[in-house]
Amino acid sequence: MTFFITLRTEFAKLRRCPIVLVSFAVCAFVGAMLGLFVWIMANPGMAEKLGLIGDKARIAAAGISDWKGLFAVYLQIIGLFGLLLYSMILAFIFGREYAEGTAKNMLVLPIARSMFVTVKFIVAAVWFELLVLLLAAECLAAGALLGLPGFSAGLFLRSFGLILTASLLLLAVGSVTAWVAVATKGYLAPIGFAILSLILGILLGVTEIGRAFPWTVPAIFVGATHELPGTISTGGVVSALAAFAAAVLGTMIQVNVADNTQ
Amino acid sequence: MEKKESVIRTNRLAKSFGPVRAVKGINLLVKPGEIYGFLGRNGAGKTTTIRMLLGLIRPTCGEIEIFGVRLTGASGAVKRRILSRIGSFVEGPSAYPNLTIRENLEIQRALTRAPKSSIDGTIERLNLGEYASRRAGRLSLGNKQRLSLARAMIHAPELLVLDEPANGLDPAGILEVRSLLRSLAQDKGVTIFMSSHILAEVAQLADRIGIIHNGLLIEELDTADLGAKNRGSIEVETNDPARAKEILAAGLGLKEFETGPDGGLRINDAGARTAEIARALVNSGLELKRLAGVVENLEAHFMRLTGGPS
Repeated sequence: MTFFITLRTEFAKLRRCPIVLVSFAVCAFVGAMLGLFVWIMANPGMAEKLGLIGDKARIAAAGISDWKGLFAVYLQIIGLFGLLLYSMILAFIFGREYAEGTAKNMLVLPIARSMFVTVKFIVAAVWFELLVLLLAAECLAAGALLGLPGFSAGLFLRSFGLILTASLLLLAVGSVTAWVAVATKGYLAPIGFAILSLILGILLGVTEIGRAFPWTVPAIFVGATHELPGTISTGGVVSALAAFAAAVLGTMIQVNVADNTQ
Repeated sequence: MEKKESVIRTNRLAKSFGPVRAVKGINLLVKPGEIYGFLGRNGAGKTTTIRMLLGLIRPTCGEIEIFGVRLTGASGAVKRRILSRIGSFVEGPSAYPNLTIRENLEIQRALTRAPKSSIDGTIERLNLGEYASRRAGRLSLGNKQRLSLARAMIHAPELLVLDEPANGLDPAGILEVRSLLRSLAQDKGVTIFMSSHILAEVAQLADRIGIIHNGLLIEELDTADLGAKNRGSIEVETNDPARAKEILAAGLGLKEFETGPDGGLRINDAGARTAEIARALVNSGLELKRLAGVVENLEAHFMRLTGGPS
C-alpha cells in the first residue's frame, strides 16, 4: 500500500513539469527529422529542388532504402541518444529534490528512504520507455508513409526486440547517473557524467579491453561500433547488470547514510 | 517503552564537519506541550542541531531521544514511527514549484496518511485559501513560508520542529503564525521546538529558551524568569571604574563585574544592595555619575551572553 502511494506521489510530482513535455517534444522532433531524412533519400530529385539535400547527406543516408536499414538507424539513435535521454531523466528526478530544496522534506517523512529511491527508478524507467515507444512509433509511421520495401512481421518483431533490449541495457548502465545526482546533490554533474560515459562507451567499444566497460555494452549492441546490431556477450550482460546493481545500491546507501546538509 | 517527561532529550550531542566542530555536546530537554525557543546567531549550530534531531545528518557523538525513544542506533522502522509524529521544516521554505499549494499538500497528506479533509483545514488555518490553486513557484516568500508550515502540520503532529518559522513573513503574518503556534501548544498540547534569530518573537512566544553559541548551549531559561534573573544587576558610572571595582569587591564582597564599552561598570551580583554600593563609592571619594538597576530584556541578555554586536 505504502509503495503504491509513494509511487503515485512520485508521478504526481511530474505534473506540469516543462522537462516532461520537452523530452517528448525532442523525441518527436528527432523521429520526425529521421523520417524527413529517409523521405529525402526516397525522393532525391524533389529534395534537391527544395535545397534539402547535399552530397554529404546523400552519403550518410546510404543504406536507409528499406525497412531493415530504417530499423537499424532507429536502433542506433535509441542506443546512443537514449543514454543521454535516460541520464537526463534520472538527473532531473533525483537531482531536483536537492536543487529545489525538497530533499530535506522528503527525507523526514515516515517512509523508508529506499522506497523513495525505488519509486524514482520506476518512474524514470516508465518515462524513458514511453519515449522509446514514441520513437519506435515514429519509425513505423515514417517507414509506412514512405512506402519502404522489405517489411515483414519477423523483421518487425526482431527489430522491436532489439530496440527493447537496447533500452533495457540503457536502463541498467544509465542508472549510475542517479547515484551521481544524489552524491553531488544536483543536475549538472550527472549530466556531465552521462556525456562522458557515452563518449567513453563509443571510444572503448572498438577496443578489446573496452568490452568490459559497462557503457560500451549498449553501444556495441546497437551496432555503433564495428559489431553487427544485436551483438552482446555474457561479459557484457554481467557488466551491465553489475553497473545496475552498483547504481541502485550506491544510490540507496547515499540517500540512507550520507548527511543531508542541503 | 516511552517515557513521558520529555519530548526531546539530547545527551552530549555533537557534530563535526571535518575539522569544524559545529555542535559541541549539547544537552537539550524539551518538555511536553511547551514552546522551546532555540536562539543563536548565524552559524551557532541551530540548524545542525535541528538536522540531527530529524535524522537528516548523523551526530558525530551523543544521543537523541524523542518521545522517550532513543533514536541513536535505532532501526529504520523505529525512526519512521517517531517521524510520523513530527512535523518539520528546515532552513527556508521549499516546495515543488510546478505544483499548486493544494497539490503540494496532497503529496504530503498522502505520504503522512493524513485524512483528505486535512488539506482544506490546513489551507484555511494558514490563510492560504486565496492562493490554493497557485503554483508554489509563483508564490511570495511569505506564502511559501506558510506553505511550508502547512506541510509541517497537515498530519496533526505531536511535535513541531521549525527552523526560523517567522522568516519572510510580514508583521501581520508573524502575528498570525504566533497565534497559531500558541493555540497549537495550548489547545492541542503540541510541543514546539523552534529556532529563531528574531529575539522579540521568541520572547513573546517561547515558554523556555535555549541559547546556543559557537556550538555550545550556553544557557537555558524560562522566559518568565528572564526579568527576575537579571533583577539583581546594577550599572554604575564613576570617574574611576577600576578603583570602584576594587572598593566594591573588597568592601562588599561583590564578584561579578562586567565593564561596558563606555567604561560603565555592571555588577551582576548586586542584589538589593543599591544603597550600600552608592555609600561605599561616595565614601571612598569617587565621583558617582550614575547608578541604575538593570532590567534586561531578552535582546540585551542574548547580546551579553554571546559577546555583543558582531
